[in-house]
Amino acid sequence: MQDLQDLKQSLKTQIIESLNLEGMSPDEIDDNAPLFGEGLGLDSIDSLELMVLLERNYGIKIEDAREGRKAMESVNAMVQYIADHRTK
Amino acid sequence: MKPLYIISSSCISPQNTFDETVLFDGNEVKTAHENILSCIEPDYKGFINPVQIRRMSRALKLGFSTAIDCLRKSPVKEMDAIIIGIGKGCMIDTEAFLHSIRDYNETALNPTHFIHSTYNQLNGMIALDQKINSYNVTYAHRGFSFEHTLIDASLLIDADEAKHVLIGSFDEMTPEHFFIKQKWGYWKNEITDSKALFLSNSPGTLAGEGYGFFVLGAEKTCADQVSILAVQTLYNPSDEEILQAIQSILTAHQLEAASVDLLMLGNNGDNRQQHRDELLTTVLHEATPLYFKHLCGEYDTASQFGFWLLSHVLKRQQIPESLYHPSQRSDSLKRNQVCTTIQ
Repeated sequence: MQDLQDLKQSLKTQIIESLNLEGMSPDEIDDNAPLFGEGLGLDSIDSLELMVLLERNYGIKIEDAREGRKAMESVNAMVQYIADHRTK
Repeated sequence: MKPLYIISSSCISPQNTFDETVLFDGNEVKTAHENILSCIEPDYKGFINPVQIRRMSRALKLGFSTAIDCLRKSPVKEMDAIIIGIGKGCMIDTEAFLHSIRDYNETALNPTHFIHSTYNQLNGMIALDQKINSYNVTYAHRGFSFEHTLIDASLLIDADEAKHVLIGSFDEMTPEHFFIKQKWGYWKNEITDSKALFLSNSPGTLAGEGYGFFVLGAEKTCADQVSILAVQTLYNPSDEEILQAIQSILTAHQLEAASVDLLMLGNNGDNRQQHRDELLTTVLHEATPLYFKHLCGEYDTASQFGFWLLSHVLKRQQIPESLYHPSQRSDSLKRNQVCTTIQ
């Protein structure tokens, strides 16, 4: 099992790839900043892309929208959610 | 049909057409690479903001840039309609979406590829960006897609439902699309240089792609504006039907066959389809035949590229050397009346 620091680094790389954040490096993504609205400024289509990312890479299927919002508040929140719920 | 005046235009193609002057200034013709003519991409920064661009595929970036460039060139800014023709939709996104369906067993599919694979994606993006909340239609009629944008614009203007219309068309070529059509015998088996396309005497043609937009209006905005007087499409016509259609257009505009100066032919170098050229050049015997598919390749909406070229030939009263058949000598434009485009 990856430790949380490695997981965070690979998750940031996956976010950049799946959302096509050209010119951005993993270090530029603030661990605690909101992913939506402020911070990275992502939108609703990005949230769907992130759900696809979670399902494909970690075997996590989020059925409840409120749970999804909480899980994707920030990179740190995502890392913790993945660590708690991953099936692969 | 009321005349449709071409107020502005923009074209991205495998040639340097985004800078309109280049093709007319005797520059070198860009040739096909392994039988594919690919578009020359502009610097997108001047047309698309960084937030939008990250989610756009190449086809959408090219199409959006062409449309915005066309609107910027137009002295008229208020559009009453957006009408776009596309043969098969955004192929790269469609292919990516289909691959996801297979790779992930119909689960966990990317929404972006699905959204962008739809035919009317570019229409929506232009409308949202330019805040054009009016008539907005996409024609996905394969080889007739561009022609239907002209017909629809003409109907709107004839019915006084629109004064200015943005029309356009685009199609992209991808390696997979090329591969599939190769199996169907669309392309030449031997590697063919664009300049030698019409001398090849073999089946198949070159693959291509292109993006073109026009602002059409019911009234002139300048003295030397090129206009469209008639549009007619024929599906799989007999020679007799072609002759009747030409005669009917000429008669409707009180013209003789001998008064046609130029004939833009959609010849794509496939030796299985040459007899139409002979028919047309015999009927319009005084017209100088011009060719364009060696410059853009074959794709569903390629007639838009021929149409764009002709509009510039008429406006400039100048024919680029590259539009003549390799065996033909250049001829000056004699008069300024009618041109016919045959897909």
